[in-house]
Amino acid sequence: MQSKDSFIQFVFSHKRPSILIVFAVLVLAGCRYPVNIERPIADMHGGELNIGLSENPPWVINTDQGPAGLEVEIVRALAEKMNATINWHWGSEGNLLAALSQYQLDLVIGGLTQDSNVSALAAPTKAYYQSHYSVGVPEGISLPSNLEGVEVAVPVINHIAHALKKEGAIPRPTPDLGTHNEAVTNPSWWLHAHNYQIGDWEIATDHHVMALPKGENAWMLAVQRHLNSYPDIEQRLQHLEAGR
Amino acid sequence: MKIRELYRLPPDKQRDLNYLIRLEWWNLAFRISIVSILALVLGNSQAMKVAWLEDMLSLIPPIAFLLAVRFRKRPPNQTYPYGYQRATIIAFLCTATALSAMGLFLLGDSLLKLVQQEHPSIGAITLFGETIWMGWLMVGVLIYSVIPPVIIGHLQTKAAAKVHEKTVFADGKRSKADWMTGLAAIVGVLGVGAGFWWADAVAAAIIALDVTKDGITNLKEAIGDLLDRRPHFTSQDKPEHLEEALEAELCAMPWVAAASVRLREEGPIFSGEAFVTPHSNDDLARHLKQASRHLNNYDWRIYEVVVTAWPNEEHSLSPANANPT
Repeated sequence: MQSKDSFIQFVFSHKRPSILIVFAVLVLAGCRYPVNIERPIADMHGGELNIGLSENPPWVINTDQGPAGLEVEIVRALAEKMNATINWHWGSEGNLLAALSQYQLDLVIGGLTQDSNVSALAAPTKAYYQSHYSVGVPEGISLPSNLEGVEVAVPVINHIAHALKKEGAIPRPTPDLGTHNEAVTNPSWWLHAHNYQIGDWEIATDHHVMALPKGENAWMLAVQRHLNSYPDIEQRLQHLEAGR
Repeated sequence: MKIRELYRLPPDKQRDLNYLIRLEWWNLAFRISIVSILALVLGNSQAMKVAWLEDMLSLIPPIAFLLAVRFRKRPPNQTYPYGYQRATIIAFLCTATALSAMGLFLLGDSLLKLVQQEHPSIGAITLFGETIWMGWLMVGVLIYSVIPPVIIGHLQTKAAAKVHEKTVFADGKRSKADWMTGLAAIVGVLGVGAGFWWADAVAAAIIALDVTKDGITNLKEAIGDLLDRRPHFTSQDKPEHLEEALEAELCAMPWVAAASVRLREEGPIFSGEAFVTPHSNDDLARHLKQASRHLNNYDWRIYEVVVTAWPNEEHSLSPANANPT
């Protein structure tokens, strides 16, 4: 108990002036609370933003005219708000996240979803959009009443085959999805963009995030506010998908 | 086989105990509410994590006490002729072990974060359409997390001292001091917001150290009880000199030449043996039984003192206890 008593004494009697100063600093800092640990946010306003990006349509698309895609649009709008110029850095997700963890980048995008790889090296934002995977059929075909034993086309490379099997369906990896008359499992924005009727099965959900350096809490707040107020993400995704 | 009688508290103490049991139910309810709310705002802060785990651990003492009280009501039987009074000590030992182990683990974890220079990320949260820094919410929840324990802690220590419930007394003492760990976590979170990455891990280490210290103090106490250390009253560090009082009671009886007593704690109550040298063997058996009954009624905390007769030459009594004829 003695150590606690001396702690109380320390707080309340001995060092009262210095404690008051600490509180005063905190209150003054409150106007710009929180602050970044590594790169001051004032540096970013009107400065340069280093954005790492890896291709992953429709989130990030590498075109002849430079980067495009939903997340590129979101970041451009943010930079415009902050009066900042963007340096784009293409790379693989792994390399970009490693560079981010060493504070060489300010943000990494590329259709990242919530997972432990991202949170090990970076501070992910809260999910700004959720892709719901469902089963859809082209117009003119009726939706199956249940998925038991139904063959469903999926992208050749996918992460939903397991979830689909659990529903009893038979996933069939198919190139050129959307060109045949068959049931398809894909995110709802894809199914909408291809004018599919959508069933009410929830096969899987991707939680989309962007990756920030750890500890950059003012920057995180700015990015999160921007993401939360960004309008019409679903429509934009459908538009991007339909335009491909 | 001689089976003990069931220990019964005097009616006023039973009322005190019932109040304590009600208090512990309230305590448990508040603790659960704190743990659930903290879980919602944990974020990436180490200090928050440690404060949360500390609050999780603080669920054990009320649960252990409420279980032990239930268990203690069982009468002694063929299998357990000494009864179930020590159930409380088992609960106490469990709590102390959990506290010590978790405290050490959290201390190591926090120091590791400090060595790795991990920059804690405290993100944003959207409440009622407004995106705010999560740190403000954490501070609010931490403030809530310290108020009920401080109030309940004060009530607990008072009520527990009345019925000599050590587990609850120790828990109450911890709760009273809980505001300091809450304050440490608040300073840690605000420090991170002010750009000091180490504030979080340092605050976490301080809290972990406090948890470990509490654990080790309680562990010593529990081991003391299990080793039949001489009784200490709840609120005091020094032994209670009940043995001497009982010896004086025995020596005051006309048939007693000398007497010595030893006691041990069985949870909230005391038991032991008294060794008496009589002046003569007349009516000895009846005298012994009466003496035993007298001692058992001397103090409400005494469960059972067995009085045995010893011949004079074998009785190594201190001169103070000798009763010259």
